[in-house]
Amino acid sequence: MTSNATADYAAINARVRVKYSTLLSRNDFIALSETTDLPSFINLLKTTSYGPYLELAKDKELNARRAAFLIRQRISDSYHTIINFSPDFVKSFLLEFYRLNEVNNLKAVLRGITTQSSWDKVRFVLFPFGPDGVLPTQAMVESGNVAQAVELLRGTPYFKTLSFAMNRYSAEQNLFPLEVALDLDYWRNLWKGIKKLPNEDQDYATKIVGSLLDMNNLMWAIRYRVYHNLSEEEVINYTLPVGYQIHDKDIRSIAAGADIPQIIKRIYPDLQGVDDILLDLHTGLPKLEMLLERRITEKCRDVFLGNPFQIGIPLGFLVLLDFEIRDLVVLLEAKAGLTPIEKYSEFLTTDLLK
Amino acid sequence: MFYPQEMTEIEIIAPAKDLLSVTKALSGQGIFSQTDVNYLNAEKGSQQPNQWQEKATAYSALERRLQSILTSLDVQKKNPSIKEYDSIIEVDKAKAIVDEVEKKVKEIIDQISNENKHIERLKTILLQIEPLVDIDADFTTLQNAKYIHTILGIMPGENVDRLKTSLARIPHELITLTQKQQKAVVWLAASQDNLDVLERAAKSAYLDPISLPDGYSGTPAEISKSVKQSILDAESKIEKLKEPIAQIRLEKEKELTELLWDIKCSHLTTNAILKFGRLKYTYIVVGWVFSNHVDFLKEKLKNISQDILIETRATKRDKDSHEVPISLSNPKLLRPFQMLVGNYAEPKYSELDPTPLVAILFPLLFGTMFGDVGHGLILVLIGWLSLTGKVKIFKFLGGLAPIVIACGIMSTIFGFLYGSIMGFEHAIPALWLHPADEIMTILIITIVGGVVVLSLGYIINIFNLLKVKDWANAFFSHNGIIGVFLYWSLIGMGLALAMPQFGLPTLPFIISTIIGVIGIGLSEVFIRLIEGHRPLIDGGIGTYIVQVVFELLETFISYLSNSLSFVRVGAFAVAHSNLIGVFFILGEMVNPGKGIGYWLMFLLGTVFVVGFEGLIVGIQTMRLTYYEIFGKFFNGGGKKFEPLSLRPIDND
Repeated sequence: MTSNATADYAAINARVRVKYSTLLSRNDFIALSETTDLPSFINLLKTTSYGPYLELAKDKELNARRAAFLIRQRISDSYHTIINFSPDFVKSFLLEFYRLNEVNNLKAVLRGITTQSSWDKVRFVLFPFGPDGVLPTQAMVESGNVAQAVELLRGTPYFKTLSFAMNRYSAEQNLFPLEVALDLDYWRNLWKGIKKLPNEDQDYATKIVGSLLDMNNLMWAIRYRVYHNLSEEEVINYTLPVGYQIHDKDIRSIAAGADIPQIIKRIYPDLQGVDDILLDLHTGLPKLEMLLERRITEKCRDVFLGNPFQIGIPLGFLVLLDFEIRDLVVLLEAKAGLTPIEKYSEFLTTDLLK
Repeated sequence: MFYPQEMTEIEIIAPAKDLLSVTKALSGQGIFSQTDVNYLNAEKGSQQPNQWQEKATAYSALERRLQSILTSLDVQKKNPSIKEYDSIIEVDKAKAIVDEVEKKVKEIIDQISNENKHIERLKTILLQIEPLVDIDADFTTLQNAKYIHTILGIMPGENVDRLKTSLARIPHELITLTQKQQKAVVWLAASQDNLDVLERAAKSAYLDPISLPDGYSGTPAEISKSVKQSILDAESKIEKLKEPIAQIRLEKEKELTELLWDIKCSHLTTNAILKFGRLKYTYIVVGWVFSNHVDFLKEKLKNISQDILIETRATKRDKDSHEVPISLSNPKLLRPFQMLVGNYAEPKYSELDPTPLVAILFPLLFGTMFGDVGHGLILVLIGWLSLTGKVKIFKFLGGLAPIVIACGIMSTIFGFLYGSIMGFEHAIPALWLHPADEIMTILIITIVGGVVVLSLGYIINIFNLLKVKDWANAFFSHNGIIGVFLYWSLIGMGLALAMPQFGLPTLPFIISTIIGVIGIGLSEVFIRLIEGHRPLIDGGIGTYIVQVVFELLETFISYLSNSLSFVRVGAFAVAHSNLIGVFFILGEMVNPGKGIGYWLMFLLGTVFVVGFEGLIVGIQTMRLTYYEIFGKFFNGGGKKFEPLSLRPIDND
């Protein structure tokens, strides 16, 4: 830890720790999950740090979709605060990390176009990216046509990636090649961005971002193999050769048809119950993903112990906040549909049933 | 002048042998308008109607084909020399000529079209192989290889390594030929046995294959050169193919143009004949003729054959008829104003032609609002330049040019009355008044003028109704005698009460107003009584009373609004004088010493006033004419007189 790092990270460290203290605890989640319906859930949520966001809409407008849209604003605000107060050499990386939400927006817009959804329906599904965004989302949705929407991306970082994939979209009339191209391009660039960070920050960033990349890469490989029945060469081309704990040989093994539970147990020896979860690969994959997310959650909490002046603090907080909001969205939809806890708890990063 | 031209209905029975001569005689003079009496068939389903229908269809098809040929030959549309003809062109004869030329032309045109398509395909190929031109390798030798499958294409540069990894389990060769701006041109090869693996890997790596064109060999640069040469060859071939086209055009242009017009004339003739009624050996032609041309037409027909029977019926104006076609007949000076009337509606046969009224009122109203000697003369100049065609830019005025001249003359006259020249209000003495100095006076005068004009409108309406013996509406409609009676009573009562200095007696006007109100209130009852409709009150007495109250309210409001509407004439007269004043002020701000800047601003102001304000004043005048004036008496609904003509130029 250098004295420069102290000076660079002092301000952001303090701010992030304050924000970290406002994250919901397990007890908060238990209390929220024990509410009987959506209105009581929202009333309780208003007493937390999400209150100011929910107050932006009238009570009668607060359905699950609208509430989810409003609470996502918290992460957008957090990103903007953290990026503004971060040292310059870290800003571009954090911006790139933030851009994952824009990539997800782009995929949502393309899906909206193919399902012929109106702008009014699509806009509340999107992440409130704010002024840093480059996507003309409304114009894209209103073009009503994927090719025209992609043309509107000319001049943005996404145009080149998508233009390579457009021939396949035109032939197959399927968004799959477009979405895969976007994902691969994003994570490849993010991984390259880690290498440009100062050495100390690289370790922390690799731990957090690398874990996320590993999780995605692993899930892609397994899904392409199990759900989509893709061939070995296709699985390899649709995944990345880089990672933190998962290496290319692991991905190639999965692609070649090796025993998936064995590979996972080898990579994550501390992961409990892998064999039981993956008895049925089709139903077990979402559970595996949740286990991996919880593992990442622990890593993110761990970075708050030890050296406070490093990139892991803001990264860890942002990942935790993202998972928290995703859990809240699951709860919102569960309460709207009056789903019992047994049916939705497995989709939560926060383990309510242990 | 005050009525549309007098019309006579004519019925002609002509033998079949004289059919064409009769048709020709009826057309061309512009005096006969045909009525469709096709329903008068002696024998339904007879073969004869089909004969003319078939001919009409055949001429229509021939006309289309010939137009297409002339377009292909790039022949400019022009009118051939007018020639007399006594018969329609034979369909078979025309068809033979068209078939022959079409065959010659079509072959060449098809060849040109094919060459153009070929050029487009070659240009697409050029675009595709453009990324490869720097690669010095002959890929065509491996295109039809028996044991190896190759793919040449472009892919994202960052996917190359991954593609290599994905193909690790099969023997293969992947060579990056070039890499520019994140795009890599690669050549991929593996055995035919592993074709599916190769293609799946290539597709999942987003490799876009480039197809090399058939029939070309060598390196991409050599292929590109060959393709470019092929394009030049094709373009040269097109130029050569155009030569026989030019030759055919030279040889056949006159013949084909005249043939086209013959076919068009024949088509028009058969269309006219289709509207005739048919008896067994004779045809019935019904239509309308200008009454003063009936004898001329009769003589012309009798000269064709004494077997032609003619019966005529002059039409009186005492009935409200929509059937009689209308042709306005005004002196040359008034004819431009027919356009203003026609834009609103065509008068019915029994209605007064409002053209003379419009010819007086329109320029008068315009001149009142736009009174300035200089501006008026500018309008006269613009109208004259447009009329004579001396300045092309003013040609857009078209038929409005004489109206602009008339308005300009009136504006000039009022310019002298107002003492205004080019916006200078006191450069010349006002023969009457300065509008800006006597605002109330001009406003009152224009309202009084509006009352006079509206009264004139009511009187014309009453006259029209009396002419057609519509007694009920003439007396009791809102624009009839009782309506104008109430209007004048209200004006008199208003003046008597508001301006006692005029010494008008109040009581008589109050009594006449009451009579007028009762008359208007019971107008519907009286009209139904006179016309013999029962019951006299429709829908119950309560409903009727409410209806009467609202109708009276509407009547009073319309009297007031119509009368006050004319105050805009005075307002514009005041505004016109002040508008140019604004530009004088701006000019002094730009250049207090009245130098170049001042006069430039003055010029700009003049252009603005003449162009923009002139347009607005014209629109206001039109509004007053159409809504306030025409609304009182002009119903329209007449059918325009369309003379039978077998000349294509009249029908295009």
